[in-house]
Amino acid sequence: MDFKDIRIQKAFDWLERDAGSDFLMPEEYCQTRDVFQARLGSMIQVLEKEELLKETYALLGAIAGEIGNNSFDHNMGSWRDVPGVYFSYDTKQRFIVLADRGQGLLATLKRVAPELETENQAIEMAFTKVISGRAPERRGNGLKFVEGWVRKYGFKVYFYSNEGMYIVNQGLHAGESRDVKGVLAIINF
Amino acid sequence: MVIDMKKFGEVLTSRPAGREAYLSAKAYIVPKNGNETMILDFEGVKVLAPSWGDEFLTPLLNEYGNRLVIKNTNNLSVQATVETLEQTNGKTFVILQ
Repeated sequence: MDFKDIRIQKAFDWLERDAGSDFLMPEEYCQTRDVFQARLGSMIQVLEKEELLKETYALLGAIAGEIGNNSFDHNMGSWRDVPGVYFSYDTKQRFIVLADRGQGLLATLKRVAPELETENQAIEMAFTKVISGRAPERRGNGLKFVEGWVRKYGFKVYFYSNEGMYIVNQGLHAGESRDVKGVLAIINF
Repeated sequence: MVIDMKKFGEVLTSRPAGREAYLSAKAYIVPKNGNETMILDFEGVKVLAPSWGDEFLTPLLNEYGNRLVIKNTNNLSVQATVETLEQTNGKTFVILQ
């Protein structure tokens, strides 16, 4: 996987701009959950046809679904400016990239865990503890699922939340963080 | 009774979709009375994510306990989701091999 790939760079560029509008192409922008769900289904059909992904395409679809749907679950009515997610992938370079201009993990989790002070603390909590910013709803297993199964199958997820950064399978990497506005995830399979 | 899960879709992701499927199943599919075993057949389901599963499977597991049986769980996302829900809820599903 090449971090300089134009589809990955576009995700960073979108989240590093002051304004999120008039930047993404319609085919890479999912303004609503329905659009995201439809494109997720299309991607799963593409992955399923890859010989090397015969066993794992379903798991990759579930991981992308959890991360993408989290954007809508936790930012409805609270987007910075533009609603929805950026969604792109490449089966040859073996990545799926998702990004949203939402609040990020610290703002959503601090409501239920006021002791959190940094994005990295929020990211660590989100990936290791069953906790949700949408309490009293009983939620919060999505990123734990990602953590566990990404490790088990040797994938990697590069996860950015504002100035925080975490690589599933490697841990916190503050030195590689970017000051994005929102959440950006790259699934490397 | 057997519920053919692919009738809810081949790609089962997101909490709102799982919640809607559960409410629809409760209204039109799940028997309102009796002690019948309910079998959820995942044949043909391509992707099941834990958020969908938590909205659909968890309440049925709480209501039916050991009378809820799941089958055709060879798909990796189905296995992963079932395992995740078991860990989260501290309860196990009866799986028909």
